[in-house]
Amino acid sequence: MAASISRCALLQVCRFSSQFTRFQTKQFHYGILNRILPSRLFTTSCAKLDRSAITVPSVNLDLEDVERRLTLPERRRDAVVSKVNADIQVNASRLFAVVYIHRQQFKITAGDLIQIIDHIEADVGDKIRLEKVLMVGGDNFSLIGRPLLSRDLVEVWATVIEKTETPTKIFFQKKRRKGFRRWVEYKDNLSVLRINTINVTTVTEDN
Amino acid sequence: MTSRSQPSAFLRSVLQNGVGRYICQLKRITFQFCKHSGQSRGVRDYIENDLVDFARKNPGVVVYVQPHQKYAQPTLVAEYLNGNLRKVEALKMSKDEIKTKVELLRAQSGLDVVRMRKPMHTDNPTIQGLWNPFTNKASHLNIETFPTKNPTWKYAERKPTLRLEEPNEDNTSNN
Repeated sequence: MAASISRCALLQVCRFSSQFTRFQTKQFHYGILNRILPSRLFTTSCAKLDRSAITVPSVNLDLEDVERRLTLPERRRDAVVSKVNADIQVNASRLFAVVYIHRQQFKITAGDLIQIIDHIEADVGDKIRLEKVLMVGGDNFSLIGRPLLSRDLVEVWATVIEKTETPTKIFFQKKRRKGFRRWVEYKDNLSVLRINTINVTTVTEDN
Repeated sequence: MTSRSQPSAFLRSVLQNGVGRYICQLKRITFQFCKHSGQSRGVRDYIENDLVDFARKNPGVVVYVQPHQKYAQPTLVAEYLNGNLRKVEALKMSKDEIKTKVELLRAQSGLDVVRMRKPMHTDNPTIQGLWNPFTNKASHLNIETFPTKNPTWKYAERKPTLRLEEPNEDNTSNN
């Protein structure tokens, strides 16, 4: 088994390296193959192969076994889901959400203020929905998205309460003794959001 | 001009604005300009064309217009619900520039424009409880005495890399 793996790998690498015969020398063969196979005895060409000299640790990879271990049995999953749903409906705790806006992530709850250094199209006073939710949680549960949670599962609503500018920032560069000096004053657009509500619906197969 | 030498503040709003209804923070805006000076031309154009639309769209904002010779350099004076006053020089501005400036004044809250130390503010920083070293650990550790025979983790056992020969009973070696 071990020897057949090694020969298989060797032949594949030979096929690959033959493309490079124009540019590469025999050194290429040595480099690649020495990394794949811990060979003590390696001759100048691929064809001459001393199988007894090459030792490769055998790997028993039972894919079915691995898959069985990685996937949670259905009854365990259903138990967890039903517990989470019960908690969502019965225990109306304060919820938090991790939300992705403008290249930043915020952990927010209802009543929070958020500042984004960007211009938002919505007018002051408008309600907007923050759709990119990475995580949501309450007292006793957390729902973690991979990487985002479904839109049907979570609703986060916010109000735009202010759209201003930052105070004047200065971008200054200097290289001494080179006569290079740059002084740029700029202001960024600033938006402030007030988080109004975070709602979670029950967890189903679809969301 | 370092940020440390300039004033800074934490993010806040005026009287929980946005929690219930949003309320426009601009209370009063005054256009101080001259009827004849060239620098006031933009303000005059704005007043002729766009001011009435602005006033209709924002019925909660009181609009005053003060034409006077002393206002040869025109200004926009904005007063806010928290009592702050902002004066913006409008000299040599075009009508469109004044329009964007007025919209900016309307969307501002009246709080001082300074560096915000944190991009968020929350009154409820924790929901699942602050982390402490016993969070997510087995509860038997609460009554455990240390040193314990059942540690939660321990260093991996290290096997010796070199096995030295044990000397024989009469202190001779086999080499």
